[in-house]
Amino acid sequence: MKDNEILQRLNEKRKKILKRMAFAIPLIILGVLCFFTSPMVGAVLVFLGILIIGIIRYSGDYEKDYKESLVRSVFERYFTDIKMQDAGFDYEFVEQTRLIPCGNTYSSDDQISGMYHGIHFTRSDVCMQQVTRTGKTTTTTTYFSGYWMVFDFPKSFTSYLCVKERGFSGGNPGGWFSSIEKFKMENELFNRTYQVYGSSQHDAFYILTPHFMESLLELNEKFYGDLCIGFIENQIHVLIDNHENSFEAPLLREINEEEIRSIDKQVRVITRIIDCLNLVEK
Amino acid sequence: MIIVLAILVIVVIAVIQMANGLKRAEVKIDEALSGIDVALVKRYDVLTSSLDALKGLMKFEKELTIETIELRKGTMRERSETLAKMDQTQSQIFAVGENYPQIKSSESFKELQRQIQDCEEHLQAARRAYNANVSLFNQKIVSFPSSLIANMMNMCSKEFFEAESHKKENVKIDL
Repeated sequence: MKDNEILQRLNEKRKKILKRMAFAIPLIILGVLCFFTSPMVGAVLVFLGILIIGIIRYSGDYEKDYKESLVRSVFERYFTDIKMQDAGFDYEFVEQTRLIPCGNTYSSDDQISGMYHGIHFTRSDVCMQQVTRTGKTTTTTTYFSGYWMVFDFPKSFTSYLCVKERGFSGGNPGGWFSSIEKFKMENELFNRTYQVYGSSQHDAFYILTPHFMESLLELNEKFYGDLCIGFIENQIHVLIDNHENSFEAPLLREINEEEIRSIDKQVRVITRIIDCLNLVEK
Repeated sequence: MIIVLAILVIVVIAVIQMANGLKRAEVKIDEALSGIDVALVKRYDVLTSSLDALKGLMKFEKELTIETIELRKGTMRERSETLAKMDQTQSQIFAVGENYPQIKSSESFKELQRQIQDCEEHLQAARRAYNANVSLFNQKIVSFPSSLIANMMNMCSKEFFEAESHKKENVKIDL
């Protein structure tokens, strides 16, 4: 199906949703007005209005169609064997990597996997927060919010290695008493930009060759957001803490070519990482 | 009196910490050195088995005369010499592949090349790790105040593992 047809169909669905939502807006306005005379009634009406908007927004197949047709069509320009699912990475999977503290509030969605020149990747949006309640005060600390990507890494190694950009949340991935040490590499700029934690110094130098360190520095310049790169069981995990939630269908603005360009930009994050790190060549 | 004692305790703790730091750095160098030796042995094994395999592959061709390599790992100089010899042998093995397309295209030769390349990468990693540890140690023993402790412990600067100069030389191959 052509992009124009997809855009037209999605815009029709979007307008239908907006029309339905229009019924809930007077309810909210009425609730706000009632709030001054009878706060309880006002609150109930506002709550009902928001509930109706929520139900309309997420019922139907607008969101699904947006991802299954528009996002997929952009992915198909670059990748093969694409698989999409609403759910993201399991909490256990993310926790086992020990790359960052997981906190007590975890969410992950929009998992997409595929192949790029023989390299398999999986990506998801992940958000990890620590919510602390002290009396009436609630403090939320966001440990990570952004893209989590996993790629094939054909170099064979058995140890654990984590490269964190300075400023990325969490310190030593293993905690104070673990066997994971902090290493200094011979590249001064690299040491100023990243911190290297691992269980084997030899493997750290084996994986982080001078050329690969240059590539990681280049990657840091290319993307907005803090980077964390983990090398675990012949896979490379690339985390970009950019506070973005990708592939969300817009409701209030029209879906046009600009939207496709925006999706394309997000999709090309994957290809740029694979190309920059020469994962295909390895 | 208490202040003097407190200062003395702090100084003693600092001296112990610095001495331990220097010892740890020395142990790290020894660990990295054993890493080099492991990588050298692995590379030696792969290269000798590659030579045997290559001779098997070339039984119908004229005799292959690649000099056999000897594994010596006493001093850093001996290690460097062994490494230089191994690099020469490796270049000769790859040159055979270039001269004989039927060998180059065989799966077993490709696998040999892959193994040799992997050994080379491991050796490079071991060498870089060793030099990074030596650099850290050498910096410690010349910086004040750890230089005082290093002098007391009779520690002297360690030798780097230089292995690049021989690569500039041309390699002679006899086939």
